[in-house]
Amino acid sequence: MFGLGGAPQVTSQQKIQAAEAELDMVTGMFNSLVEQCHAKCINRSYAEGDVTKQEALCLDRCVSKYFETNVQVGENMQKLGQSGSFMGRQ
Amino acid sequence: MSEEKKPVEPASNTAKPASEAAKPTKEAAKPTKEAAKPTKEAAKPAKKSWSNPALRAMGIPKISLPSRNWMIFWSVLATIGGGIYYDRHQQKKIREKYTEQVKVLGEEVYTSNRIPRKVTVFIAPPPDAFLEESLKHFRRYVKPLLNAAAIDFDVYTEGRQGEIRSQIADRIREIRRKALEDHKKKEEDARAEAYSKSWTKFFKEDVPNVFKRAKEEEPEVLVDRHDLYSPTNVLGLYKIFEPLQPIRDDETDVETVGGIICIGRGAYKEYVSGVQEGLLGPLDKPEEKIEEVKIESVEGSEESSETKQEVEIDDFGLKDEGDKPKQDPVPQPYIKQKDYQSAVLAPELDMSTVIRDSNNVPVMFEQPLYVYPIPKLVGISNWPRKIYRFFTRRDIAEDVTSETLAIVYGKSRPFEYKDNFLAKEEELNWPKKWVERGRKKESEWVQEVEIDNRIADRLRVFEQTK
Repeated sequence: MFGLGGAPQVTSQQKIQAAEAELDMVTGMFNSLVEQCHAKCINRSYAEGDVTKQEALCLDRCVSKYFETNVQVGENMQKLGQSGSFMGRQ
Repeated sequence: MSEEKKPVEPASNTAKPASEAAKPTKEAAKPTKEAAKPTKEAAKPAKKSWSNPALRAMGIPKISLPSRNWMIFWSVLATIGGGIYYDRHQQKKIREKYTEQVKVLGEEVYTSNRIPRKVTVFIAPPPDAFLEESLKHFRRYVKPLLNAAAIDFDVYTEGRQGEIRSQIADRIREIRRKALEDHKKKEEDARAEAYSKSWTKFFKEDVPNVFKRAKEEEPEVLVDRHDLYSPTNVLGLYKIFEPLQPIRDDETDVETVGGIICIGRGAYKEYVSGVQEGLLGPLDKPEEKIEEVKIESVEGSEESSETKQEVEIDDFGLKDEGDKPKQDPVPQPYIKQKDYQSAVLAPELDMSTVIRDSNNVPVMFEQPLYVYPIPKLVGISNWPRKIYRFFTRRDIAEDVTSETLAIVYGKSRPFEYKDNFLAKEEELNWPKKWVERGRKKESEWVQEVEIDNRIADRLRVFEQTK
């Protein structure tokens, strides 16, 4: 992930670990996305059982914005990792 | 009354020694003023003030009206401040009134497979000004209504003249290219099908194959993973559920689909010329134009240095100049305005029907449009009007917000000739020097809007019918 430290030999153990980390990351991202977009878009009075048009639109935008940001942050991190200046490493 | 006057005397008594103490130094400096001073002090009336022993005991000094100058200062401040506050307050009320009105549209119960209507907003900065001005206009008066009515919007802005035009033209050309490809593909498929059914194929391929098949097996072919399955196939979820097929609100009713909002007369001009360039111009960039330019520059080599300098003057104010890398120039239009009449209208597209994109939404030029003039005044002679407008912004708010209702409700009518002059009033306030510069550069902003009849027939304009 993030292109940090390319391991020369990858055993199956490492592969599984990497897959687990990936899954954790995806799950974490999904959870925080649900939490944030819920906090932002859904009306807390819960007057309606279904989502209203306003909420639906807000959710659409929220999710797409979240993914876009995520991709951009990921790309930047990757760049940082490749240049080797991440976390003060020169 | 007697109580009121009492505190005055000690105050004036305390004031006198101070002035007397100051006198000797002044006497030394300016003996001529000495004669004037006593009369002035005598003419000064005792200040009206009010106090109370209880207040005095608490350490609150006497209460009196401030001096004349302070009164002027405070009243001017209060008038200006009050004016701004009142105007803001009224603007807020107006905004709330209209958002309340359209809020009902946003409260509709929505199933998750529906996608709301989407309008496209083109924002261009007013001449010689920052983009922020136009953005503010949009943010203040248009956006609140769109949000309240749950209408999605895409905003396109430009920093340089022609960006909106070239983008729109590109998009339309893309649609045309795709239509051309689809058409070709269909023809090829039809030919292939006809061939597979024909006798020639039967004798040429099928008969020999029957003998061949027994001998050799088909070789293994590598197929791209994406052709075999998509991510949705891998997700177990879709083994149980049918994947959602989104339904767009824009698909259903052709009359009220989407919408184009142009903020500023310039944005409108660019939109119109972009659509015409896309529909009437060639699909690929014409080559001759570059040669023409070259010849011109050779002829007028003396002028070229001058023109270069002029080009460097920006049409709009740019926020952060300096270390920004130089951008590519905005591409020239593929077709000139004078050639519109003789050009063929997009032969790739079937113009007898409503043209739709891959999402089944009618494309840009099938959607109704609306133009907002930007109320921007320049020049010292306009300052009084500017100040007046600043304190009566609520009028603009009322006008613009009520106009937006037509967009929100999707009320539109066919394009008419008078719509060439939408937001024309804005041009009256364009700086004259800028317009002159534009004429020299042949900028599209200073040219009149001319819409080819074939395209004008397709356009629609939002208008509130009463």
